Amino acid sequence: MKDTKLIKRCQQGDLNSFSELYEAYKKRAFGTAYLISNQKGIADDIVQEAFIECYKKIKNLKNPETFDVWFYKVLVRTGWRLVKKHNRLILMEELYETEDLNSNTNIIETKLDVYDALEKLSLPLKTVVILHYFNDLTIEEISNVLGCFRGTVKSRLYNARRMLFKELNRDVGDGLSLVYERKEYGFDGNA
Amino acid sequence: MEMPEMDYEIRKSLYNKVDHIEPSSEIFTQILAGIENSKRRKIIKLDRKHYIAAFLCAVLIFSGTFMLSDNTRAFAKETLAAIQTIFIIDKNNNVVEKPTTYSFLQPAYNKNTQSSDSDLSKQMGVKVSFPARIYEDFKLQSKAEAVGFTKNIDYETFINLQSTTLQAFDNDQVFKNIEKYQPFRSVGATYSDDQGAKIGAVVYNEKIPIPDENINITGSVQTKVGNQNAKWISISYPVYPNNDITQKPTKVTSTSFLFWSIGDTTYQIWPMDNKLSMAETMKFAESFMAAQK
Repeated sequence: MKDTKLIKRCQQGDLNSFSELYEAYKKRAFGTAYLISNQKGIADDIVQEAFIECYKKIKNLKNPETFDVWFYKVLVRTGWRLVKKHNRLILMEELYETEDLNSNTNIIETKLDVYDALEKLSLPLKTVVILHYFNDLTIEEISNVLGCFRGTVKSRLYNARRMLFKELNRDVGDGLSLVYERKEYGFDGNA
Repeated sequence: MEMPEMDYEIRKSLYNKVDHIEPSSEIFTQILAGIENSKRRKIIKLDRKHYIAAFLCAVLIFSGTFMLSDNTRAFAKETLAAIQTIFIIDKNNNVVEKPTTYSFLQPAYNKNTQSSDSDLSKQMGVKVSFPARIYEDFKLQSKAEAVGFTKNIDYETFINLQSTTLQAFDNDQVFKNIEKYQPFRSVGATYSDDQGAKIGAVVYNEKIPIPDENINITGSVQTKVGNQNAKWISISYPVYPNNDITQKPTKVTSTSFLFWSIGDTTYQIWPMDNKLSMAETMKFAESFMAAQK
Protein backbone atom coordinates (compact mmCIF):
# COMPACT_ATOMS: atom_id res chain seq x y z
CA MET A 1 0.00 0.00 0.00
CA LYS A 2 1.47 3.34 -0.97
CA ASP A 3 -0.90 6.24 -0.42
CA THR A 4 1.63 9.03 -0.68
CA LYS A 5 -0.94 11.75 0.00
CA LEU A 6 -1.87 10.05 3.24
CA ILE A 7 1.77 9.71 4.20
CA LYS A 8 2.42 13.38 3.40
CA ARG A 9 -0.48 14.37 5.63
CA CYS A 10 0.99 12.21 8.39
CA GLN A 11 4.31 13.99 7.90
CA GLN A 12 2.52 17.22 8.73
CA GLY A 13 1.47 15.72 12.04
CA ASP A 14 -2.19 15.16 11.13
CA LEU A 15 -3.48 12.67 13.68
CA ASN A 16 -6.59 11.78 11.67
CA SER A 17 -4.41 10.74 8.76
CA PHE A 18 -2.19 8.84 11.14
CA SER A 19 -5.26 6.99 12.36
CA GLU A 20 -6.02 6.05 8.72
CA LEU A 21 -2.47 4.90 8.27
CA TYR A 22 -2.76 2.72 11.35
CA GLU A 23 -5.95 1.15 10.05
CA ALA A 24 -4.30 0.44 6.71
CA TYR A 25 -1.21 -1.17 8.20
CA LYS A 26 -2.31 -2.61 11.52
CA LYS A 27 -3.18 -6.12 10.36
CA ARG A 28 0.00 -6.64 8.39
CA ALA A 29 2.08 -4.98 11.11
CA PHE A 30 0.55 -7.09 13.84
CA GLY A 31 0.95 -10.26 11.78
CA THR A 32 4.62 -9.52 11.25
CA ALA A 33 5.13 -8.68 14.91
CA TYR A 34 3.35 -11.83 16.00
CA LEU A 35 5.36 -14.04 13.66
CA ILE A 36 8.59 -12.48 14.90
CA SER A 37 7.73 -12.76 18.58
CA ASN A 38 5.30 -15.69 18.62
CA GLN A 39 3.50 -14.04 21.55
CA LYS A 40 0.45 -11.82 21.33
CA GLY A 41 1.45 -9.61 24.26
CA ILE A 42 4.86 -8.89 22.78
CA ALA A 43 3.33 -8.39 19.34
CA ASP A 44 0.98 -5.76 20.80
CA ASP A 45 3.97 -3.98 22.36
CA ILE A 46 5.93 -4.14 19.12
CA VAL A 47 3.06 -2.65 17.10
CA GLN A 48 2.46 0.03 19.69
CA GLU A 49 6.09 1.10 19.91
CA ALA A 50 6.61 0.89 16.17
CA PHE A 51 3.67 3.17 15.41
CA ILE A 52 4.72 5.69 18.04
CA GLU A 53 8.20 5.69 16.52
CA CYS A 54 6.61 5.98 13.10
CA TYR A 55 4.64 9.09 14.13
CA LYS A 56 7.68 10.69 15.66
CA LYS A 57 10.04 10.04 12.76
CA ILE A 58 7.81 10.06 9.69
CA LYS A 59 8.54 13.71 8.98
CA ASN A 60 12.17 12.69 8.34
CA LEU A 61 11.12 10.30 5.57
CA LYS A 62 12.31 12.05 2.42
CA ASN A 63 10.45 9.94 -0.11
CA PRO A 64 6.91 8.87 0.85
CA GLU A 65 7.10 6.22 -1.90
CA THR A 66 9.51 4.30 0.28
CA PHE A 67 7.21 4.29 3.29
CA ASP A 68 6.63 0.52 3.25
CA VAL A 69 10.29 -0.36 3.50
CA TRP A 70 10.90 2.39 6.03
CA PHE A 71 7.98 1.28 8.19
CA TYR A 72 9.00 -2.39 8.13
CA LYS A 73 12.47 -1.31 9.13
CA VAL A 74 11.04 0.43 12.20
CA LEU A 75 8.78 -2.52 12.92
CA VAL A 76 11.46 -5.20 12.60
CA ARG A 77 13.99 -3.19 14.57
CA THR A 78 11.44 -2.72 17.37
CA GLY A 79 10.49 -6.39 17.13
CA TRP A 80 14.03 -7.62 17.47
CA ARG A 81 14.68 -5.32 20.39
CA LEU A 82 11.60 -6.44 22.31
CA VAL A 83 12.10 -10.12 21.52
CA LYS A 84 15.69 -9.87 22.64
CA LYS A 85 14.59 -8.16 25.84
CA HIS A 86 11.93 -10.79 26.41
CA ASN A 87 14.37 -13.64 25.78
CA ARG A 88 16.73 -12.12 28.32
CA LEU A 89 13.93 -12.15 30.88
CA ILE A 90 13.12 -15.75 30.02
CA LEU A 91 16.76 -16.63 30.48
CA MET A 92 16.71 -15.02 33.91
CA GLU A 93 13.62 -17.03 34.81
CA GLU A 94 15.25 -20.22 33.56
CA LEU A 95 18.18 -19.67 35.89
CA TYR A 96 15.80 -20.17 38.78
CA GLU A 97 14.00 -23.14 37.30
CA THR A 98 15.45 -26.52 38.14
CA GLU A 99 12.49 -28.71 37.29
CA ASP A 100 10.10 -28.99 34.37
CA LEU A 101 12.39 -30.92 32.09
CA ASN A 102 9.29 -32.56 30.64
CA SER A 103 8.50 -29.52 28.57
CA ASN A 104 11.51 -30.17 26.33
CA THR A 105 10.46 -33.77 25.99
CA ASN A 106 7.06 -32.60 24.88
CA ILE A 107 8.58 -30.39 22.19
CA ILE A 108 10.64 -33.25 20.88
CA GLU A 109 7.70 -35.55 20.79
CA THR A 110 5.40 -33.13 18.98
CA LYS A 111 5.26 -33.44 15.23
CA LEU A 112 6.69 -30.34 13.56
CA ASP A 113 4.67 -28.17 11.21
CA VAL A 114 6.13 -25.35 9.14
CA TYR A 115 5.69 -22.76 11.82
CA ASP A 116 7.26 -24.91 14.51
CA ALA A 117 10.20 -25.44 12.21
CA LEU A 118 10.39 -21.72 11.53
CA GLU A 119 10.54 -21.10 15.26
CA LYS A 120 13.74 -23.09 15.38
CA LEU A 121 15.52 -20.69 13.05
CA SER A 122 17.63 -17.81 14.29
CA LEU A 123 15.85 -14.46 14.41
CA PRO A 124 17.61 -13.02 11.31
CA LEU A 125 16.76 -16.10 9.22
CA LYS A 126 13.21 -16.19 10.53
CA THR A 127 12.76 -12.49 9.78
CA VAL A 128 13.87 -12.89 6.20
CA VAL A 129 11.37 -15.73 5.75
CA ILE A 130 8.57 -13.61 7.27
CA LEU A 131 9.35 -10.55 5.16
CA HIS A 132 9.57 -12.62 2.00
CA TYR A 133 6.65 -15.01 2.41
CA PHE A 134 4.29 -13.06 4.64
CA ASN A 135 4.98 -9.46 3.65
CA ASP A 136 5.73 -10.23 0.00
CA LEU A 137 8.82 -8.05 0.01
CA THR A 138 11.42 -8.47 -2.70
CA ILE A 139 15.05 -9.31 -1.97
CA GLU A 140 15.93 -5.68 -2.67
CA GLU A 141 13.28 -4.42 -0.26
CA ILE A 142 14.31 -6.86 2.45
CA SER A 143 17.92 -5.76 2.10
CA ASN A 144 16.75 -2.17 2.64
CA VAL A 145 14.61 -3.13 5.63
CA LEU A 146 17.43 -5.04 7.29
CA GLY A 147 20.20 -2.73 6.13
CA CYS A 148 22.27 -5.52 4.63
CA PHE A 149 23.44 -6.59 1.17
CA ARG A 150 21.13 -8.33 -1.26
CA GLY A 151 23.56 -11.25 -1.27
CA THR A 152 23.17 -11.56 2.49
CA VAL A 153 19.39 -11.67 2.14
CA LYS A 154 19.62 -14.27 -0.62
CA SER A 155 21.96 -16.40 1.41
CA ARG A 156 19.78 -16.11 4.53
CA LEU A 157 16.72 -17.05 2.55
CA TYR A 158 18.53 -19.97 0.98
CA ASN A 159 19.82 -21.18 4.33
CA ALA A 160 16.43 -20.76 5.95
CA ARG A 161 14.68 -22.75 3.25
CA ARG A 162 17.35 -25.44 3.39
CA MET A 163 17.08 -25.71 7.16
CA LEU A 164 13.29 -25.71 7.05
CA PHE A 165 13.36 -28.39 4.38
CA LYS A 166 15.77 -30.46 6.42
CA GLU A 167 13.74 -29.94 9.57
CA LEU A 168 10.44 -30.85 7.99
CA ASN A 169 11.82 -33.96 6.36
CA ARG A 170 13.79 -35.26 9.29
CA ASP A 171 12.59 -37.93 11.63
CA VAL A 172 10.71 -36.61 14.58
CA GLY A 173 12.97 -36.81 17.62
CA ASP A 174 16.13 -34.90 16.80
CA GLY A 175 14.46 -31.54 16.39
CA LEU A 176 16.45 -29.87 19.13
CA SER A 177 19.50 -29.37 16.97
CA LEU A 178 18.55 -25.88 15.86
CA VAL A 179 17.23 -24.61 19.15
CA TYR A 180 20.55 -23.24 20.35
CA GLU A 181 21.24 -21.29 17.17
CA ARG A 182 18.86 -18.54 18.28
CA LYS A 183 21.58 -16.23 19.49
CA GLU A 184 22.27 -14.09 16.44
CA TYR A 185 20.59 -10.74 16.75
CA GLY A 186 22.61 -8.06 14.93
CA PHE A 187 20.73 -5.77 12.63
CA ASP A 188 23.58 -5.30 10.21
CA GLY A 189 23.44 -8.64 8.47
CA ASN A 190 26.54 -9.91 10.22
CA ALA A 191 24.80 -11.37 13.19
CA MET B 1 7.98 -32.60 1.20
CA GLU B 2 9.62 -31.18 -1.96
CA MET B 3 11.15 -27.70 -2.15
CA PRO B 4 8.50 -26.04 -4.41
CA GLU B 5 5.78 -27.51 -2.30
CA MET B 6 7.52 -26.15 0.74
CA ASP B 7 7.38 -22.54 -0.54
CA TYR B 8 3.63 -22.86 -0.77
CA GLU B 9 3.45 -24.47 2.66
CA ILE B 10 5.53 -21.74 4.27
CA ARG B 11 3.33 -18.99 2.90
CA LYS B 12 0.15 -20.81 3.85
CA SER B 13 1.40 -21.63 7.29
CA LEU B 14 2.35 -18.02 8.05
CA TYR B 15 -1.02 -16.71 6.91
CA ASN B 16 -2.84 -19.38 8.90
CA LYS B 17 -0.79 -18.60 11.96
CA VAL B 18 -1.94 -14.97 12.12
CA ASP B 19 -5.37 -15.45 10.62
CA HIS B 20 -7.19 -15.95 13.90
CA ILE B 21 -5.52 -13.25 15.95
CA GLU B 22 -6.11 -9.52 16.05
CA PRO B 23 -4.24 -6.68 17.69
CA SER B 24 -5.76 -5.53 20.97
CA SER B 25 -8.57 -3.06 20.46
CA GLU B 26 -7.02 -0.47 22.75
CA ILE B 27 -3.67 -0.38 20.96
CA PHE B 28 -4.39 2.77 18.99
CA THR B 29 -5.47 4.56 22.15
CA GLN B 30 -2.19 3.53 23.72
CA ILE B 31 -0.32 4.72 20.66
CA LEU B 32 -2.00 8.12 20.93
CA ALA B 33 -1.16 8.25 24.63
CA GLY B 34 2.46 7.41 23.78
CA ILE B 35 2.56 10.19 21.19
CA GLU B 36 1.06 12.62 23.65
CA ASN B 37 3.62 11.67 26.28
CA SER B 38 6.48 12.06 23.88
CA LYS B 39 5.23 15.51 22.93
CA ARG B 40 5.06 16.46 26.59
CA ARG B 41 8.54 15.13 27.17
CA LYS B 42 9.74 17.12 24.18
CA ILE B 43 8.31 20.30 25.56
CA ILE B 44 9.80 19.67 28.97
CA LYS B 45 13.11 18.94 27.30
CA LEU B 46 12.82 22.16 25.38
CA ASP B 47 12.18 24.06 28.53
CA ARG B 48 15.17 22.60 30.26
CA LYS B 49 17.79 22.03 27.61
CA HIS B 50 16.75 24.30 24.80
CA TYR B 51 15.94 27.06 27.13
CA ILE B 52 16.98 29.72 24.69
CA ALA B 53 14.82 28.41 21.87
CA ALA B 54 11.86 28.26 24.19
CA PHE B 55 12.62 31.62 25.66
CA LEU B 56 12.63 33.45 22.38
CA CYS B 57 8.92 33.10 21.96
CA ALA B 58 8.27 36.32 23.66
CA VAL B 59 8.15 38.34 26.68
CA LEU B 60 4.83 36.65 27.20
CA ILE B 61 6.62 33.44 27.87
CA PHE B 62 8.40 34.88 30.82
CA SER B 63 5.56 33.84 32.99
CA GLY B 64 4.51 30.81 31.00
CA THR B 65 7.06 28.29 29.88
CA PHE B 66 9.00 28.56 33.09
CA MET B 67 6.26 26.61 34.68
CA LEU B 68 7.01 23.02 33.79
CA SER B 69 8.50 21.97 37.08
CA ASP B 70 9.17 18.61 38.64
CA ASN B 71 5.80 18.95 40.28
CA THR B 72 3.92 19.74 37.15
CA ARG B 73 5.64 17.16 35.02
CA ALA B 74 3.42 14.44 36.31
CA PHE B 75 0.41 16.44 35.21
CA ALA B 76 -1.41 14.86 38.11
CA LYS B 77 -4.23 16.57 39.87
CA GLU B 78 -3.19 15.27 43.24
CA THR B 79 0.21 16.82 42.71
CA LEU B 80 -1.42 20.03 41.65
CA ALA B 81 -3.55 19.99 44.77
CA ALA B 82 -0.39 19.73 46.86
CA ILE B 83 0.94 22.99 45.44
CA GLN B 84 -0.56 25.89 47.34
CA THR B 85 1.50 28.88 46.26
CA ILE B 86 3.63 30.31 43.53
CA PHE B 87 6.18 33.14 43.60
CA ILE B 88 6.16 36.28 41.51
CA ILE B 89 7.68 39.75 41.72
CA ASP B 90 5.75 42.86 42.64
CA LYS B 91 6.15 46.29 41.08
CA ASN B 92 9.24 46.92 43.20
CA ASN B 93 10.89 43.66 42.17
CA ASN B 94 10.21 42.13 45.58
CA VAL B 95 9.42 38.44 45.55
CA VAL B 96 5.89 37.78 46.79
CA GLU B 97 4.02 34.56 47.39
CA LYS B 98 0.60 34.15 45.75
CA PRO B 99 -2.03 31.40 45.80
CA THR B 100 -2.14 29.10 42.77
CA THR B 101 -5.56 30.54 41.96
CA TYR B 102 -4.05 33.98 41.34
CA SER B 103 -4.53 34.90 37.68
CA PHE B 104 -1.42 36.49 36.29
CA LEU B 105 -0.05 34.14 33.63
CA GLN B 106 -0.17 34.70 29.91
CA PRO B 107 1.57 31.46 29.08
CA ALA B 108 2.87 30.22 25.74
CA TYR B 109 3.74 26.62 24.97
CA ASN B 110 6.66 26.07 22.63
CA LYS B 111 8.19 23.41 20.51
CA ASN B 112 11.05 23.36 18.07
CA THR B 113 9.93 22.95 14.50
CA GLN B 114 11.40 21.77 11.23
CA SER B 115 8.45 23.12 9.23
CA SER B 116 9.18 25.22 6.19
CA ASP B 117 8.52 28.95 6.21
CA SER B 118 5.64 28.48 3.78
CA ASP B 119 4.01 25.88 6.05
CA LEU B 120 4.47 28.13 9.06
CA SER B 121 3.01 31.04 7.09
CA LYS B 122 -0.06 28.96 6.24
CA GLN B 123 -0.53 27.97 9.85
CA MET B 124 -0.09 31.53 11.09
CA GLY B 125 -2.10 33.24 8.38
CA VAL B 126 0.78 35.71 8.16
CA LYS B 127 3.77 35.54 5.87
CA VAL B 128 6.88 34.63 7.84
CA SER B 129 10.37 34.13 6.56
CA PHE B 130 13.47 33.08 8.46
CA PRO B 131 16.39 33.30 6.07
CA ALA B 132 19.42 31.09 6.70
CA ARG B 133 21.58 34.18 7.03
CA ILE B 134 20.52 37.66 8.01
CA TYR B 135 22.06 41.04 8.88
CA GLU B 136 25.67 40.43 7.97
CA ASP B 137 26.79 37.26 9.74
CA PHE B 138 23.87 36.08 11.79
CA LYS B 139 23.04 32.46 10.97
CA LEU B 140 19.77 30.69 11.61
CA GLN B 141 20.10 28.26 14.56
CA SER B 142 16.62 26.94 15.21
CA LYS B 143 12.95 27.64 14.69
CA ALA B 144 10.15 27.25 17.19
CA GLU B 145 6.40 27.56 17.11
CA ALA B 146 4.13 28.37 20.00
CA VAL B 147 0.55 28.59 21.10
CA GLY B 148 -0.06 31.09 23.88
CA PHE B 149 -2.78 33.06 25.60
CA THR B 150 -3.26 36.76 26.11
CA LYS B 151 -5.89 36.28 28.79
CA ASN B 152 -4.51 36.14 32.32
CA ILE B 153 -4.98 32.69 33.79
CA ASP B 154 -4.04 31.09 37.06
CA TYR B 155 -1.50 28.38 37.67
CA GLU B 156 -4.06 25.59 37.97
CA THR B 157 -5.72 26.51 34.69
CA PHE B 158 -2.32 26.64 33.09
CA ILE B 159 -1.54 23.09 34.16
CA ASN B 160 -4.95 21.81 33.11
CA LEU B 161 -4.69 23.49 29.72
CA GLN B 162 -1.39 21.95 28.74
CA SER B 163 -2.69 18.81 27.11
CA THR B 164 -5.32 20.67 25.08
CA THR B 165 -2.85 23.32 24.03
CA LEU B 166 -0.48 20.66 22.75
CA GLN B 167 -3.20 19.44 20.44
CA ALA B 168 -3.96 22.99 19.32
CA PHE B 169 -0.55 23.24 17.63
CA ASP B 170 -1.77 21.14 14.73
CA ASN B 171 -5.52 21.26 15.13
CA ASP B 172 -7.42 24.44 14.34
CA GLN B 173 -10.62 23.10 15.86
CA VAL B 174 -8.94 22.55 19.21
CA PHE B 175 -7.43 26.02 18.86
CA LYS B 176 -10.94 27.43 18.42
CA ASN B 177 -12.18 25.47 21.41
CA ILE B 178 -9.84 27.41 23.69
CA GLU B 179 -10.97 30.75 22.32
CA LYS B 180 -12.06 32.03 25.73
CA TYR B 181 -8.41 32.18 26.76
CA GLN B 182 -7.64 34.42 23.75
CA PRO B 183 -5.14 32.13 22.08
CA PHE B 184 -2.54 33.19 19.55
CA ARG B 185 0.06 31.48 17.45
CA SER B 186 3.62 32.60 17.13
CA VAL B 187 6.74 31.42 15.37
CA GLY B 188 10.26 32.45 16.10
CA ALA B 189 13.86 31.75 15.28
CA THR B 190 17.20 32.17 16.95
CA TYR B 191 20.22 33.55 15.13
CA SER B 192 23.82 33.82 16.22
CA ASP B 193 27.01 35.24 14.78
CA ASP B 194 30.60 34.06 14.99
CA GLN B 195 31.22 36.26 18.03
CA GLY B 196 28.53 34.35 19.91
CA ALA B 197 25.91 37.11 19.96
CA LYS B 198 22.43 35.61 19.98
CA ILE B 199 19.25 37.21 18.83
CA GLY B 200 15.66 36.01 18.65
CA ALA B 201 13.00 37.06 16.15
CA VAL B 202 9.36 36.32 16.85
CA VAL B 203 6.19 36.90 14.84
CA TYR B 204 2.73 36.73 16.44
CA ASN B 205 -0.49 36.45 14.50
CA GLU B 206 -2.26 38.79 16.94
CA LYS B 207 -1.79 42.21 18.39
CA ILE B 208 -0.05 41.23 21.60
CA PRO B 209 0.02 43.33 24.76
CA ILE B 210 2.97 43.17 27.09
CA PRO B 211 1.96 41.44 30.33
CA ASP B 212 1.58 43.65 33.34
CA GLU B 213 2.23 40.96 35.95
CA ASN B 214 5.51 39.35 37.01
CA ILE B 215 7.36 41.62 34.59
CA ASN B 216 8.28 45.21 35.34
CA ILE B 217 8.87 47.64 32.52
CA THR B 218 11.88 49.68 33.47
CA GLY B 219 12.21 51.72 30.29
CA SER B 220 10.50 52.37 26.97
CA VAL B 221 12.07 54.24 24.07
CA GLN B 222 10.02 55.20 21.03
CA THR B 223 11.83 54.35 17.80
CA LYS B 224 11.19 53.11 14.26
CA VAL B 225 11.83 49.93 12.31
CA GLY B 226 11.74 51.15 8.74
CA ASN B 227 8.66 53.35 8.66
CA GLN B 228 6.94 51.55 11.49
CA ASN B 229 6.71 52.88 15.00
CA ALA B 230 8.34 50.53 17.45
CA LYS B 231 9.42 50.49 21.08
CA TRP B 232 12.66 49.50 22.67
CA ILE B 233 11.41 48.09 25.93
CA SER B 234 13.49 47.25 28.97
CA ILE B 235 12.10 44.97 31.62
CA SER B 236 13.03 43.11 34.78
CA TYR B 237 11.78 39.63 35.47
CA PRO B 238 12.38 36.80 37.95
CA VAL B 239 14.60 33.78 37.27
CA TYR B 240 13.37 30.55 38.84
CA PRO B 241 15.32 27.44 39.85
CA ASN B 242 14.63 24.83 37.17
CA ASN B 243 12.10 27.26 35.68
CA ASP B 244 9.80 26.28 38.52
CA ILE B 245 7.47 29.06 39.52
CA THR B 246 6.48 27.20 42.68
CA GLN B 247 9.98 27.85 43.98
CA LYS B 248 11.41 31.19 45.03
CA PRO B 249 13.23 33.02 42.23
CA THR B 250 16.99 32.93 42.52
CA LYS B 251 17.32 36.45 41.15
CA VAL B 252 15.58 39.25 39.29
CA THR B 253 17.30 40.06 36.02
CA SER B 254 16.78 42.47 33.14
CA THR B 255 16.72 42.54 29.35
CA SER B 256 15.55 44.70 26.45
CA PHE B 257 13.86 44.03 23.13
CA LEU B 258 12.23 45.71 20.16
CA PHE B 259 8.48 45.39 19.95
CA TRP B 260 6.01 46.66 17.34
CA SER B 261 2.83 45.78 15.50
CA ILE B 262 1.75 46.10 11.88
CA GLY B 263 -2.00 45.60 11.60
CA ASP B 264 -2.80 42.50 13.61
CA THR B 265 0.70 41.11 13.46
CA THR B 266 3.21 41.72 16.23
CA TYR B 267 6.99 41.46 15.90
CA GLN B 268 9.64 41.10 18.55
CA ILE B 269 13.41 41.19 18.13
CA TRP B 270 15.34 40.32 21.22
CA PRO B 271 19.11 40.32 21.76
CA MET B 272 19.08 37.30 24.01
CA ASP B 273 22.42 37.78 25.69
CA ASN B 274 22.13 41.56 25.88
CA LYS B 275 25.25 41.87 23.71
CA LEU B 276 23.59 43.95 20.98
CA SER B 277 22.74 47.61 21.46
CA MET B 278 19.40 49.09 20.53
CA ALA B 279 20.92 50.53 17.31
CA GLU B 280 22.32 47.12 16.26
CA THR B 281 19.05 45.41 17.13
CA MET B 282 17.19 47.90 14.97
CA LYS B 283 19.47 47.12 12.02
CA PHE B 284 18.84 43.44 12.53
CA ALA B 285 15.10 44.17 12.69
CA GLU B 286 15.17 46.07 9.40
CA SER B 287 17.04 43.22 7.77
CA PHE B 288 14.50 40.78 9.19
CA MET B 289 11.54 42.84 7.96
CA ALA B 290 13.06 43.09 4.49
CA ALA B 291 12.92 39.30 4.39
CA GLN B 292 9.21 39.30 5.32
CA LYS B 293 8.18 41.14 2.12
